[in-house]
Amino acid sequence: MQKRKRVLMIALATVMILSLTACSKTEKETSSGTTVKLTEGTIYPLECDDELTYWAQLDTNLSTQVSNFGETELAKELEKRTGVKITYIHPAQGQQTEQFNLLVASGKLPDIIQYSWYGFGAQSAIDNGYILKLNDVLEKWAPNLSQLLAENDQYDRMVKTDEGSYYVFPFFRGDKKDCIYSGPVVRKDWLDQLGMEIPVTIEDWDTMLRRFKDELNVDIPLSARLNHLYSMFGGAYGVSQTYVLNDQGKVVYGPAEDSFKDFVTLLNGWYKDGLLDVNIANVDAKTLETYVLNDRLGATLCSAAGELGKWIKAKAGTDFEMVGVPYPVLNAGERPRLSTREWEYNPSSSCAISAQCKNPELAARFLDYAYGEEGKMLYNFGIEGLTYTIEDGNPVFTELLTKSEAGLSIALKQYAMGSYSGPFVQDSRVVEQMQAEPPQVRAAVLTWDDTDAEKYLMPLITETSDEQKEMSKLASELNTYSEEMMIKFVVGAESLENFEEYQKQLQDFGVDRALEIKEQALERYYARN
Amino acid sequence: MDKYAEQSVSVRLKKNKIYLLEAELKKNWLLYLMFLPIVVYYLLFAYKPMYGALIAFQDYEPMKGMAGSDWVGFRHFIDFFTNYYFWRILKNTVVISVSTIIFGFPAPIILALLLNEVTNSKFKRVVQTISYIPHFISMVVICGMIKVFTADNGIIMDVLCLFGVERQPLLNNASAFVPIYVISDIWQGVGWGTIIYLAALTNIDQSLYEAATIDGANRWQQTLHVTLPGIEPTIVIMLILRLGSILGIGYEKIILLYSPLTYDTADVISSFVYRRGLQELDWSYSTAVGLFNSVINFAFLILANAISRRVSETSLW
Repeated sequence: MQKRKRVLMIALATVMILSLTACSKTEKETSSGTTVKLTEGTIYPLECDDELTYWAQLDTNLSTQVSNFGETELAKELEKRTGVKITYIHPAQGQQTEQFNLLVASGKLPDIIQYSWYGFGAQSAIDNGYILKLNDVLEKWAPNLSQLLAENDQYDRMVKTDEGSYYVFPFFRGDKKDCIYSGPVVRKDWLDQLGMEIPVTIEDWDTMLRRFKDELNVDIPLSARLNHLYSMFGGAYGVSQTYVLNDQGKVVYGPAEDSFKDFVTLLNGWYKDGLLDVNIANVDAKTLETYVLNDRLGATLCSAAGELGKWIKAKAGTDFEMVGVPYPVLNAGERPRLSTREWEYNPSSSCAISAQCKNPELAARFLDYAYGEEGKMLYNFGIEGLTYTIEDGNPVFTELLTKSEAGLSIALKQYAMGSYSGPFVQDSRVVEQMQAEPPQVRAAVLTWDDTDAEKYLMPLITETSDEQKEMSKLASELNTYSEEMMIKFVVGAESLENFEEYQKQLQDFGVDRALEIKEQALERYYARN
Repeated sequence: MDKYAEQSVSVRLKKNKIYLLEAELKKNWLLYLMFLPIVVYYLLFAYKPMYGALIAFQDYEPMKGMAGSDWVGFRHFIDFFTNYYFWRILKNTVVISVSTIIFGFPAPIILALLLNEVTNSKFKRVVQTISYIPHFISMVVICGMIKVFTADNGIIMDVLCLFGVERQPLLNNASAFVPIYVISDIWQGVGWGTIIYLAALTNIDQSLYEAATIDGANRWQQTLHVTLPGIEPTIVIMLILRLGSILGIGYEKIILLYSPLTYDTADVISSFVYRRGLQELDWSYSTAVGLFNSVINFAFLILANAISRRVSETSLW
């Protein structure tokens, strides 16, 4: 009896057998907000008693300085100028996806949500009542953004769905050069030591890596984060980790292409000869940095200011010299096809207005401020006289920022979004000044930018809800399998003789159907007007 | 005649029972009051959400709610069962789980028994503290340490090299994943796991040891015939509960340690769901897999309990 009792006690203390997620539907609030009163002539500051909530990931650097975006100088200035009171809500660092997931599942949405609604499925988000279709909203209350989209067809096409619905106040990069911020780098001082030129073709790379290894005893001639390996050498073979356009403008799935075999064969050869990092499957940013700072690494792919600039500064005073080099091509005279370039429209930093927003006019007018003349300057450069002055018609950052300990790009984050991202148009003059120091950084970006990536990069197509459902099943098998086989081919865990079988398996998974869906979506994309 | 008598007896018994219950409540109402929040907790957080499991049979859209979402029957289950990787992730989940039970389950018991034999209390406390530490270190840090230790120039490789193993990053080797997972799991949990057994050990009647000594039992025999039977119910209950989460390998440690090179042995149900569900917001699919998990776990729990009740008289119910 006593035994039984004790047993029961232990059991009660520890049992937690079934735990299933709770999902309850909350009622929508439908009460409408008070109207916005406009001052005669000028729009801002607005007079309205309503307050808005704004959900967004807080920038990592900012999160070490403030606990809430509302504490930044930018937020205070915005409130002063627009007259709109905003409560900012942030997901915990690194848990954006999970917390967005919970937010959406809770059925109670804040007024403004900054998240990749493109990735979520913009049209279905509108149809299912998560966010507002913005067509009327933009027309009535967002003159600045409307004008911007009317004047720029390319922007306009990117930010709407196939059905022609607008869904966000977008983040645009102001210039093509600002769409790329990472690329291949090599140790220039070692090249000089060997009397070699900057490598251009795959063959050049092969020679360089071998000579690094044989003549300079470089520990790891080549290493990179796994997905960057595709970006670095895939372009030469016209393949990438997922979908790209081929020379004819048709959609192809990189890992299923015949030339993918050449790509993995190349890497496999390098791996066997000790040119490619043995740890290649587990390389992360930290690993790379350790390699570089300890002079163990010959070449890799890294980001401009965040890594290349940082490393050059950290190794100042030594022989260390690292430069950006062009994306490799197969034959001399070709132009690089692919790079890490992104599109001008960046979905994840763009803001939608939730369907539950009580005062869409207020939210729209607040967000539209960023696209006007005054707003552009504030979002990009901060406050005139304090963070920047105009010299020869161009804004130049003051010493408050340039001489600050944290460095320009981090110091600016208190006053403006120019050095990261948000719902506004990034001015390339910010990017230029950020990449000015050390000078190798800007030079690298200009080198990396010189590709035909625009022609091959998959446009920001959208799938219908039904297509999306079908794709998610297809993609889960295709991506897992191809990633797994790619690395196995590279390290030799799977013989290259099995490449045809691998391709056959991708066929069985339905790669053709996936391509068909992508192709249809691409046609609809081009048909947008 | 007899029939009526029986009936009236049973009625009386029933009345008796209700009466007893009333008396019990009156007598111990304070205890029951204290117990009430626990009941509410379980009703609210363990039983009410079970209703939410219904979305496994829907194409759930939060904005439409459960009433408005479309019913799709067993489609998500069929999707899961017919997935190319279904058998692999099921196998990996079971292999990792069973290995953790076989090697990991006895570890805290052995450590607890050893600690119990230690007479120097200072030494005992130091050992306990040190063995608890890994439990309090965040999983991310632990996995970072494991990565460093198992790298091609890590300490573990240094040792293995002495035995003629070729220098390589161990985590790239699919066949090394399960051992790494299980051994590090023991390292992480062994100290913490001893607590419940040490508590059980203090409950053993000291006079039993005296009696055993008088009968001429040495230390080893005492452990075998007094200590172990003394904590046997605890061991059995812990084992039953552990079997109840046989498919419950968490994804955190897995996704921090695996890479496409080791998917063959490392990809488990939860990491698969993480990739598919969390990143693509597929609520219904994730719930379907979760429900499948729970059903299997529940079956194991029942089974283990039934076996245990027959064999050792110890059971949950």
